[in-house]
Amino acid sequence: MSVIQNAINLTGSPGQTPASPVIGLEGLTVTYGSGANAVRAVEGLDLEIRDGEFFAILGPSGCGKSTLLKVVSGLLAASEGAVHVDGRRVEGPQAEVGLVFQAPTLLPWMTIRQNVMLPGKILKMDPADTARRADEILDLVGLGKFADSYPSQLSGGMAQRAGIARGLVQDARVMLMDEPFGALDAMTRERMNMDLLDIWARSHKTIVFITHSIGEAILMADRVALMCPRPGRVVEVVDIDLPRPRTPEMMSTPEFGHYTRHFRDYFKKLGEL
Amino acid sequence: MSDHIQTRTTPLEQQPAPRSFHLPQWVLPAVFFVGLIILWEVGIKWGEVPSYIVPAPSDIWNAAMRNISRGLYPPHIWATMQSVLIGYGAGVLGGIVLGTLFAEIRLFERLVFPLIVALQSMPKIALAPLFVMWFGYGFTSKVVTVTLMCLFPVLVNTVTGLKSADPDRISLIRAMTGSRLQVFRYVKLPSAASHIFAAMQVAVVMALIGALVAEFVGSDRGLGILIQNGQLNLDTPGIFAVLVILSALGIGSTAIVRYVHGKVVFWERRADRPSGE
Repeated sequence: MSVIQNAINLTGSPGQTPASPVIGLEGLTVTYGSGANAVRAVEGLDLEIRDGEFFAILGPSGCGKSTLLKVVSGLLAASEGAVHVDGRRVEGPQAEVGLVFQAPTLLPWMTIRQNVMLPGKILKMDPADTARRADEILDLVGLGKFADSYPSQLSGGMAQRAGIARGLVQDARVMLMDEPFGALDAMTRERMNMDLLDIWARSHKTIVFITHSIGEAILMADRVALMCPRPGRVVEVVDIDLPRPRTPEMMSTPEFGHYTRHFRDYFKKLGEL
Repeated sequence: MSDHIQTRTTPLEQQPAPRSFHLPQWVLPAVFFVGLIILWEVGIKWGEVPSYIVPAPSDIWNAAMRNISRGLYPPHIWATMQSVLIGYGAGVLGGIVLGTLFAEIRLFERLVFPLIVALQSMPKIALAPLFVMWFGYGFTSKVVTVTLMCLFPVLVNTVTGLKSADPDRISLIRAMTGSRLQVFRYVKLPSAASHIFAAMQVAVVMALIGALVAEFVGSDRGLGILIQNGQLNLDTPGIFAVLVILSALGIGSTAIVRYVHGKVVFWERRADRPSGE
């Protein structure tokens, strides 16, 4: 516990109301290409994500989930509409928003420690401080012994944990995660889910988590946004009233089944199931 | 069918290890090479081929030994290698710098690329006589020829390498608010390193060709001159001895570049390693 508090600066004071929006999207429209070939990836999307919440975005492939994250992270400009993070309009990548990719995207020419320290280097944080925090976070994600290994020496699950550790070192207030466990086997995935919830509970970050797994979305999130494809829109935002801490055993409770049915019915209507 | 299942369920340690005699990999090619030399020697002696047409290996050896005892080779090897080293360094560096400008600056690419394509499809070696006229007889024209020979392969591969960088890795740095320079330093340049080294290996051979031809057309020192002298004096064994020296220099230089390649771009060797670790 104390390790975490050292490793991750707690953002947001305890007295703060949890309901203040940290991410605001208004009428977001993203168009790829132009003229007759133009494709609307996202159209007229409104969304508010609260400070400190675990927010899942659930939708079939091609519904613009990844586009949405790219816009919030500042990698992609909105064609129309407004994007705010922390009350400021997003005009490009910023230190307060961290991104964890679908693939671990580690740089093979750097050791795991160097990879994890990369945000500190680029954001010009104090090197000694970054190194200390990198080691603490690597311990936290169970990679302490592999700090001096190269990415090619790690398994898929370990590499993904290193990617998440790198996101944590950036110490951004908001972590955007684009199907971070999509490529993992079911058992590793379940363990990673629990680890991530643990990290989130202790770090008080806002996490926006993209997934196309219904179970994963319900298990992890405070709220789940359902998206529909072509063009991508948010159809519904569902509050998940399951107690915390969440455990995989909850997946067999009637409440969990109720949420699962709700989302499955929707996907059936879409013709995705 | 039952047989099949039985073999599959045999515990691993009980299976007989595949037996084979482990000769080092180089033995067979070496034996073949020595055999070839012997065949050559015997064929020439039996066929009574005059040594000014095709010398026997023993003639080449004798010529080489005679010249070595006279101290003929070192100054000429040095004259050739000096221009090779300087021209190679300049060509590789120039190729990397120009390649970077091409890959990173759109305007530069649009303006200069057609010219480069035109130059690239022309045999650079044809310019050697011009360089002798411009830069004079000897060292400078040689270095310029070698530089030009090395420049193009490195330039082309630098552009390819920089453009082949994984877009996700670039996004990664950008999402961390990284600058273009940081994207270049942390992602693009390491991604291009292997391409650049591959071109540097090609450039070693190009450099030797450049130096030789430049010596043919305008120099009084170097291994190219020894070949020309051999031609004038009908000293075929002497020419062959120089050819042996040249291929040794080529093999040696390529081996050095390959070694440095492996040391610098260590992560690709790691990734290429057979799986199972």
